[in-house]
Amino acid sequence: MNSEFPQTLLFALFEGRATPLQKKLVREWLLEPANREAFCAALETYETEHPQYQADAEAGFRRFRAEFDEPVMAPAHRPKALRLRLGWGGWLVAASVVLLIGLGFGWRESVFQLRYETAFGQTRTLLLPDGSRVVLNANSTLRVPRFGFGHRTREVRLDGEAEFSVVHTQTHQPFVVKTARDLDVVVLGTEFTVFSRPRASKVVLKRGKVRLNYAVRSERRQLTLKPGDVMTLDPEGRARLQTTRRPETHSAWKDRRVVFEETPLSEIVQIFEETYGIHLELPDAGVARLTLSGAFTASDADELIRTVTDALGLGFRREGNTIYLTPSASD
Amino acid sequence: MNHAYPFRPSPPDDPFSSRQNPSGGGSEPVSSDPEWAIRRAFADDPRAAFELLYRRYYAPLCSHAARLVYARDVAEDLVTELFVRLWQQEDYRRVSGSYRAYLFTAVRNRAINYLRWEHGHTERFDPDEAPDRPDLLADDPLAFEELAEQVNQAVGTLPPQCRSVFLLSRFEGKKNREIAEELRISPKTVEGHLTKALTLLRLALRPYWGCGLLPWLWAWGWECGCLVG
Repeated sequence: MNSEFPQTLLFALFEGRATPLQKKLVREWLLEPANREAFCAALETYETEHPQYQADAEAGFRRFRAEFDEPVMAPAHRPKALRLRLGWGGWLVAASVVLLIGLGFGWRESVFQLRYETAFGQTRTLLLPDGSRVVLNANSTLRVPRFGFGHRTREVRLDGEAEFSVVHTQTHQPFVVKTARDLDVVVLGTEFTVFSRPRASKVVLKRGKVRLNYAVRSERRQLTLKPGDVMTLDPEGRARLQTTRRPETHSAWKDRRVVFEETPLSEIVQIFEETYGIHLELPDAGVARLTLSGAFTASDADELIRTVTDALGLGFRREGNTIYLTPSASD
Repeated sequence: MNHAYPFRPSPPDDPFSSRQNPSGGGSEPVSSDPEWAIRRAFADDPRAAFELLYRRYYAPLCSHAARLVYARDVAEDLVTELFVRLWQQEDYRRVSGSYRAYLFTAVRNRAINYLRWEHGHTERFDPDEAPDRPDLLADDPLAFEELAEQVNQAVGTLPPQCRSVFLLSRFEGKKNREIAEELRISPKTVEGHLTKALTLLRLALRPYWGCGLLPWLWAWGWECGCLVG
C-alpha cells in the first residue's frame, strides 16, 4: 500500500547514513511484500546513479555468451568454469589472483575515488554523502573521494559542467571544486555552476558566496564572487568577470533547455561537440558569425539542431556523428 | 574465472520461496514498466529477452554486490553466476515477481553468503554439495545494509597504508608483488597489511554471523523448509 516511501531515506540507507530509527521504519515498511518491489526499484536507481564502480555490461555479456550460452537442464552439465576454487582460508590467494579481464583503465584512480560520468546527451543528478546535490551535464565527470567525504574533506574534481547545491556543514567544512585548469572553487554553502572544458572555464554564482583560487601564468590569484557574477577563464589564463541578472540560464541545461544570448554559431558548434559528441560542418565561414538568442527546449541533438537551423533559416543533413548545415532550409 | 570463491552451481534458495517473493503486488505487470516488456519478450524470444535483462541489470547488480564483497572480480562473478543459473536452469520461467526484485534479492543473498564463506563462518559448508544458506535477508531485510555499513566502516578506519594495500589487492586484483613495487614496500609488509585488514574486517563482522550454533540452526531450518516446500 504505502509504496510512496521517501527515496531520500532509502538512499541514505544505501549510503550507510540511516539512523537506527530510520532503519526500523524501513523494516516495518518492508513487512508489506509489495513494498519489497519498490525497495528493489530504489536499489536499481541508486546503483545506477551512484555506482560503487561502473561494471562493463558489454564485456560481461560477451564473457557470458562465450562460456555459458546454452540452456542446460541436466544437473550433470552444470557450468564447470565457474566451479574453479581454491582451498579454505585462501582469501589471500584469492586476493592475489589477478583479474585478467576487464581491468578498465582509469580504475586506478577510482579505487580511492568514486567517479560519476555522463554520456553525451545525458544529464544526471547526484546526491553526495554530505547532502550536497550535483547535477552533471552531458559528457562530464565528477570525482568524489571514496572515504572520509564530509568529515575529512569535501573536495571534488570536475571535468565538464555541473550545477552544485552545497549544504553548509556544522563544522564549516569548505567544499572545494577542483578543475583541470588550475581553478578551484571554494565554498561553504551555496548554489553555483561550474563549467570546465578545454575551451574555457566558467563559474556562475546563483546564491551565497564563493572564493575562486586560480592561477594566471603560475601567479596565484583569488577572487570572491557575489550572486550573479560570471567568471570565465580562457585557455590562455585570461580571467573575465561579468554579471548576469539571470544566473539560472547558465544551468538551463539541467532542464533540457538551452539558452542563447547573442550566441554565435561558432560557439553552438562547440556546444554540440561537448554535449552530444556531434560535429557540425558549416557551409562557409560567414555562417559561423550568425548569432542566435532565445531559450529552447531540446531533449536531444536532433531536436536542438532542428530548432537552431529553423531559427537561422538553414537546413541540415545528419550523417552519423556529423551534421552538415546547408545554406537553405530546402536541404 | 580467477577467484577463490566456490561457486555453487545451483543454489536453490534463489528468491522463489514465498517469504522472499513479493506475493501478489509485484506480479501484476504494469504496462508502462520495462519489466513488462522483458516478460513479454521472454514469451517470444527468450534469448533476446535474456540479453535485454542482462544488459539492463548487470552493472547495477555488480555495483551492489561490490559494496559488500569489496572486490570487483568477486562481484562480477557473483552476478555472472546468477545469470548463468537464470539462463541454464531456465529459472526465468519461474520468476513470479519482477525480474528486478528477483535479481537484487538473489545478488544480496549471494553476496552475504560469499562474505560468510570468506570469513570462514560456514565450516560445515561444502560448496559443491550444500545449497546456499537460507539468507539473513529472510530474517532481516536490511542485513545487507547492516553488513555493508560494517564493512565500509572497517575499511574506512584501516590505517592509510593498510587500506591502500587492501583496495589495490581487492579492487584492482593486483598481486602482492605488484603492490609491493607500487608502494615501495616489501612483499612481506604487503602480506602483513592484508592479514591485518582481513583480521579487522572479521572482527568487525563477527557479531553478524552469530557464533557457533546459529549457522547450524540456519542449515537445519533451511532443510526443514526445503522438505516442506
